[in-house]
Amino acid sequence: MNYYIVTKEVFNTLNKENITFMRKSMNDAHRLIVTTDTVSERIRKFQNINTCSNYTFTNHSDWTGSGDGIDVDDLETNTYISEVDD
Amino acid sequence: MAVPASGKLSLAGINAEVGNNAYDATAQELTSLQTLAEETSINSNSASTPNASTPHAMSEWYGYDHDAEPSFENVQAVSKSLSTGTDNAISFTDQSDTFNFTGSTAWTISLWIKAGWSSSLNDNIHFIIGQKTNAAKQIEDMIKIIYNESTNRIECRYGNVAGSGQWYNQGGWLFHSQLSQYVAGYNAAGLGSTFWSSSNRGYVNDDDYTMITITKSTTNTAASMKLYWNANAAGAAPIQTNNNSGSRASNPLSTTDDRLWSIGSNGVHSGQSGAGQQRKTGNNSATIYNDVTIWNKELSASEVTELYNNGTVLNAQTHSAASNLKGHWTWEVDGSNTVVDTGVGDFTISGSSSIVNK
Repeated sequence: MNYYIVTKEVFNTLNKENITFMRKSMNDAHRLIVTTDTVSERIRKFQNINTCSNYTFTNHSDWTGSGDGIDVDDLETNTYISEVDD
Repeated sequence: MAVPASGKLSLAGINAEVGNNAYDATAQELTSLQTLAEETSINSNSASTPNASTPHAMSEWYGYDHDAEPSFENVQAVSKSLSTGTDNAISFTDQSDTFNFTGSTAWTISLWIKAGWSSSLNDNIHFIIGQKTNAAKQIEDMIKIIYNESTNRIECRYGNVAGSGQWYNQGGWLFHSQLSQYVAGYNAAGLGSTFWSSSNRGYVNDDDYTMITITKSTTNTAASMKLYWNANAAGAAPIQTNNNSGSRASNPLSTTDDRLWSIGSNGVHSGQSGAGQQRKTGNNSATIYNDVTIWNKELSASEVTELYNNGTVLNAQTHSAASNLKGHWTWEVDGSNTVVDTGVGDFTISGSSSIVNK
């Protein structure tokens, strides 16, 4: 799996079939994604699921309104559905 | 059986009510009215009670019920503080294995909830979770029901660690799509196309609460779970994950490990270094939980309808399936489990979490 932050515009060009997780940033400008594809046009790439999750805890106000980050658990088990998670 | 509310009374009959909880007009054991009035430990749960002061009168005993149950009250609920950590948790440890359901047992968990989170939560809030005490990972011997505001889904997951990995079955229901596979959830919740929050609560009762119920059959798959929004059936989950094949299946949920049960937060941390415990409480304003019930059977649709009781919180101990009721928390005064025969499961309400008027 690959873990990225991409812009909304780049996200819209990606193959949704290969995306297993997506979370919009609080300002809706960015998307944190988990995908089997390699994305070259990205804002940030994470080495693994733990560094990805930890980044969201450090920068939680960008990604959640709860004061928390995105748990590894969420990254692993949330299922992105392109037809409803637009 | 209580003393008759009118007509001729027998002193020995009243004595039988006091002695055997059954008025008996044919009883013959002698006593005196003074003895009854002054030496009986009067059950104040009875709607009608005599007094111990003279002069004593037979008529004071009309309608007295010596084994009357306390009347059911629904005045209070429990507010889960937005403050996180064990110091603000609502939790108890089950050391009796009463709630140690496994993948092959049937169960039902139901709770009334008044949403406090806003549309900018963009995270999940944990409604209820049970898991192995002192677990290193959240998934250990775990059953949980959460709402993920970022996807507008209720999710129910159960599973366990399996070696260095994990197994779990998960059902997910979303409420904002009218596509055929999701429309049951859309119709059940009444949220429309907007996500669930304190400003869009969908179908609620007169107090703005929703009764959320998850039932599970004995089948160990995600398809075994069904969701009800109030009495409205959303059916089996349209989003199912079965991650319990192969060697994972040899790591069933324990029937003997002690489990920590928490309301309104995520229990132990989910593998996040430094993230702490008892998080995922929501945002905006505290979410309030009213009567929580746990049953050791899969309630049928009609039984869920009975529990919903047209939006009036029911005394679950009068429910037709009450013999399967293992936990009933009314949050009147405290977090006691009111199912007397289990004698376990009293929630401790800590810190800024508190009992509040519903």
